[in-house]
Amino acid sequence: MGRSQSKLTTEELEDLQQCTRFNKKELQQWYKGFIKDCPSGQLDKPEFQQIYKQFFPFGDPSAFADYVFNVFDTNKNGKIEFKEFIVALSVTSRGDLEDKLRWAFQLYDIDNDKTITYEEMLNIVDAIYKMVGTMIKLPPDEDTPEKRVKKIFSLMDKKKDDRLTFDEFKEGSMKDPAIVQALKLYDGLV
Amino acid sequence: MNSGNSLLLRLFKSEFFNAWIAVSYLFKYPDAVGIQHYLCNELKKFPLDEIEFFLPQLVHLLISRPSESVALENFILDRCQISSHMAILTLWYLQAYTSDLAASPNTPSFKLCKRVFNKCQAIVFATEAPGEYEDIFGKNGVPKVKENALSAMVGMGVMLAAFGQPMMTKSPGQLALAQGRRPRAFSTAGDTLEGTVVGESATQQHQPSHQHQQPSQLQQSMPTIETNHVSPQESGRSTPAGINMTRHEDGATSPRSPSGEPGSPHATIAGMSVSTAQSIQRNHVVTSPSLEDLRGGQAFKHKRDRFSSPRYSHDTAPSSPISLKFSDRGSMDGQSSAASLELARRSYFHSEMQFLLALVDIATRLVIVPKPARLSALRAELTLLNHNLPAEICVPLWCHATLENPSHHRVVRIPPQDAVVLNSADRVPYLLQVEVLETDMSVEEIRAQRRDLGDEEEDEHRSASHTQGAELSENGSIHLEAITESNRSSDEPPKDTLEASSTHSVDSKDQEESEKVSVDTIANPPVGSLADLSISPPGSPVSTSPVITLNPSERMKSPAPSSSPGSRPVTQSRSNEAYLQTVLKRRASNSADDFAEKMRTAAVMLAQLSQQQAAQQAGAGANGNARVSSQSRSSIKAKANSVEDIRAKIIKEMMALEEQRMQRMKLEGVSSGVGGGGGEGAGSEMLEDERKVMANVTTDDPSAAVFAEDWDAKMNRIRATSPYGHLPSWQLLSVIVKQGADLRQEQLACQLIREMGWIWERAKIDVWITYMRILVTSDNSGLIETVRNTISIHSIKKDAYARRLNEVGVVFTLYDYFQQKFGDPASEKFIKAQDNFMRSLAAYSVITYVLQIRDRHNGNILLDTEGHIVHIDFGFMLSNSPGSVGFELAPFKLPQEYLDVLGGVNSEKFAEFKVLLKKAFMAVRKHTENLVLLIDMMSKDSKLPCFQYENAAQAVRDRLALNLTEVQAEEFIEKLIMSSCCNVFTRLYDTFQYYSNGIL
Repeated sequence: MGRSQSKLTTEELEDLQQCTRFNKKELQQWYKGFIKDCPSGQLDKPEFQQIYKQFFPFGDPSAFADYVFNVFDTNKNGKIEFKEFIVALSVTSRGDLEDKLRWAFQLYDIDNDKTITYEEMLNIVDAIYKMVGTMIKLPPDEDTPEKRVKKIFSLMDKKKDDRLTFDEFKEGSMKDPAIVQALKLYDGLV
Repeated sequence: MNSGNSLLLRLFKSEFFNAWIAVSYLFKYPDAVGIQHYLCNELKKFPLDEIEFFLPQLVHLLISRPSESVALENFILDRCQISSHMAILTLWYLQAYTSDLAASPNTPSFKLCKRVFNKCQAIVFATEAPGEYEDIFGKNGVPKVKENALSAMVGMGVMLAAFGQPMMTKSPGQLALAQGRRPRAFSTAGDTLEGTVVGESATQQHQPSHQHQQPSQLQQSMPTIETNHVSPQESGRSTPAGINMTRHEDGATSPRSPSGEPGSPHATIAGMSVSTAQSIQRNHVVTSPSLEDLRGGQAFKHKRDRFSSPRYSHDTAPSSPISLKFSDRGSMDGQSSAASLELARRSYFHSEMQFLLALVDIATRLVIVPKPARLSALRAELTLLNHNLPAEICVPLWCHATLENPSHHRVVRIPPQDAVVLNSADRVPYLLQVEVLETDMSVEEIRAQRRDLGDEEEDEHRSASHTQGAELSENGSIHLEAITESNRSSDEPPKDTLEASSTHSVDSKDQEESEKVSVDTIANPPVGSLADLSISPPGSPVSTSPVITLNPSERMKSPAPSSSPGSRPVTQSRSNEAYLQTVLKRRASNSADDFAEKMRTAAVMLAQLSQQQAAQQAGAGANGNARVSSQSRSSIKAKANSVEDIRAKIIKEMMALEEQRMQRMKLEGVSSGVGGGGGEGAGSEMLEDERKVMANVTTDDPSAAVFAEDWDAKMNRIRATSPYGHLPSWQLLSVIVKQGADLRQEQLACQLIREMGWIWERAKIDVWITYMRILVTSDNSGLIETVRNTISIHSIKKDAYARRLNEVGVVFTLYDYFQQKFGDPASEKFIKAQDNFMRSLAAYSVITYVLQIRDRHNGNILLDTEGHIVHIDFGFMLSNSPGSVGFELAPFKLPQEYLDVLGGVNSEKFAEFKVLLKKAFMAVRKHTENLVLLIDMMSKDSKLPCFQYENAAQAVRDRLALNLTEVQAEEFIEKLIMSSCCNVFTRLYDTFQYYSNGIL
């Protein structure tokens, strides 16, 4: 992959069917859409940031976009290819809750050491707040990244060690209806 | 970029933020997805009437700037879902754009237009958009996303952010979904939106049998969208007012269609086929009702019997059912009640659009009726229409229903006797009154009330229709064979199609058959069928008493003061009195104006040239297919050039004259004495040729009398004769129905005038304007509100000459009229009228200057009964000017007769006028961008003639002299006024109009 072609080859299709929950027709359709949106067949970080800027015009989404980019870019070659995109889409739209949580955990576990530290969480939340800007009014106990992270840890960090394991992350997230709701964004729609 | 945008957000969140700012930033950032969505969300918070004001601009922006963002599209459709008025207006706009873009069906604009049109239609008729929904709804009925990779990547990112701050993910998540639903060009579903698809699917939607057969004016290859089965036989008889229809004593009817095809759903008169030909590209959503519908009295109320509560259908249908269906699909319960609501809603919209299209179609049909018979034909048509009223329909724009108060008015009656055909070159616009009730009563209750009123009303009604509408009586004995015979195409034998229609039940005919037949066109439309109708001449309840009531002999010489001197403003009265002497003296001197002579010559020559040019163009057109030798072609070209040369020479001469005049004004003061009259005197006091004037005067003009009647008197008269008149919520609307004219430019002009009116209102500048509602129903039809109690200055003068109110050989001016209408210049009444005139003139002077409104002859300028001046007809403004003319070079119209009404250039009133005009100008200047936005948004890729020649928005800025300081600007206005005062070109144009079109 990585080069631009109009259709997926049979081998590529078979490979993608293995790693996603899409059928051939869906894969071809999404491939067409992907190529239409990124004719080179791949997206780099600046391009990715640019997309986020379109959607978040009033804030600075570049830091958050970079974190998300890293989650997509599983082979760490600095580019998002179709396969990386469609695998992520498969998880987010057709995966179960556990799949989604595992996928999301990667974002917050910046150094990939299987735990989310307070600093890691603060970095991400800070990036989120910067991205959205002042568009949304938050309750006083969450109106800064610090307050929000404290709140998250008070809810999720059972062991009180300022680190979140996947289990803690999972358990805490499932207790928050807003998070569960957000994870269903694409359910049944793709 | 980001810091700039956070400033933007601060603006959007500030107290200054309003709908105008939102719309202007939508326009500035058409491709910024996030901004578009944010602003559209904000716009939802503003009242619908504010959105409705901007609707032409929003629709134009949507169609002319296809963008990545779907926000605007979604916003407009969302508003359509909650407001029936908005939905109908939008549908008609989109229909007009569909026609505009039909020539380039592969452009993104056209595809977008079709898509939104289909969606809007689905909202209006509560059907599902064709090919859109069946495979795109996921669970819960929420539309799926399409293969939009970029928005999916954002959506996934938003999901990830949910852990960090779930509150922040809600709206961005919806945004990503909304963008994700953007149709992809390569995807199959929902994108094959051809015109016919609309029809087919809508037809299928409506398949369930309904009792009344439906309108059937079909377009070629355009299956009817109609709800019901169309019996070919039935539809073959969609003729107006009984043409081609023979009713025998025994009640048998023998419709004869000229094509001889009994099943031709094409209307059997020429007007129908004319409109069919014109609208072949168009996508009539609803066709006008057929004669059968109208005759049956069911045209606008079909299907009402299908739900239990008609009132329900009315009050709630336009707002709730659809939003229920669309936004809440998942949680919707009570399917059956929702379904009946949908039906109600569909019926409501459908009837309403049918009603308005029926009105437009009458105008189409009248075109082929010979002039003398048009009025009777119109009244017959309306009598027929009346049988279908009252109905659950309102007239959008005129109806006050809002979201909060969804009580629409109901059209109950159209008094046929008060409709009148208006004079027009080749079209037949007509004026009619519409009686409406602002009431919660259902139509049934209204009908019941009416029955209670007693039978005499009914009788009166019936007898009226008997004489008027030849077609109406059930056992009518009107014989029209002679007409139909002569008009029927000779090679087709007449068939007794009634036989067929009575043996086939309506429901037994399937759609296919009627579609198949619909392709047939009519080769020889009967012409002038209505002319020979034996309709008795219309009784005339319309007061023919003229406006001017003073006896000619009393005129001017010995004005009888009508008001007590004590109560009037003394100074104004004295100065007015003194000025009268000045005018009289000027007249007495009878100076054969040197200007007038030159003016006359120039105008006559220009009129001849313009005729010549028109003839040449017609000739060239006729030769279009023939082979024109290069020689003759070059000779035509040479002729054209020489015409241009002569024109240029005349204009140059007039320029010189104008310079002389300005020079003289500088030396001798403004009052240096120019003539007072309009075109007929070439600007001098003396009539050019009395016989010629009289020839113009005798042209029959039935509309003059209608316009002359005082509105309140008319309303009371109609109310007294209306069976609904006793109801407290009875109201009367007065509209002109136009066909064959694109009213979008008129609408823009009225919108701009309204905006200026608001600017002045906010700035508390006491000028006077009036606003006319304009309802666009397609790219060549619509309704225009009439301005109450007005009459054109042309008509005023015509009437005056007809009754010889002028002094022999002397022109009749507006000043004379003011004296006749309002009395002695020193009287209170006159002074009040003078003040009204001044305040309206100040406003319209600024308006006509800023918008460069052209073709300002006296047929386009009205005066109301209080002395206010009103400009109408905005076919020429911003960048275009009348055809070959282009010499209306004065900043605005300010002829001697206006100055006379104001009391001359040295009067206090004129000084007041100047001050007011300056204030009004400065206020508009301060809010230039309010106007410019409206113009700018409409101008891109616009089909409107007013945008064809220059950057209209920039030109408006230039005219407002934004680069000048306040002091300089005031001087600039002073110059504008002085240059307008008795401007040579104003006189030239009036004189030109007099010689070429007989406008006084």
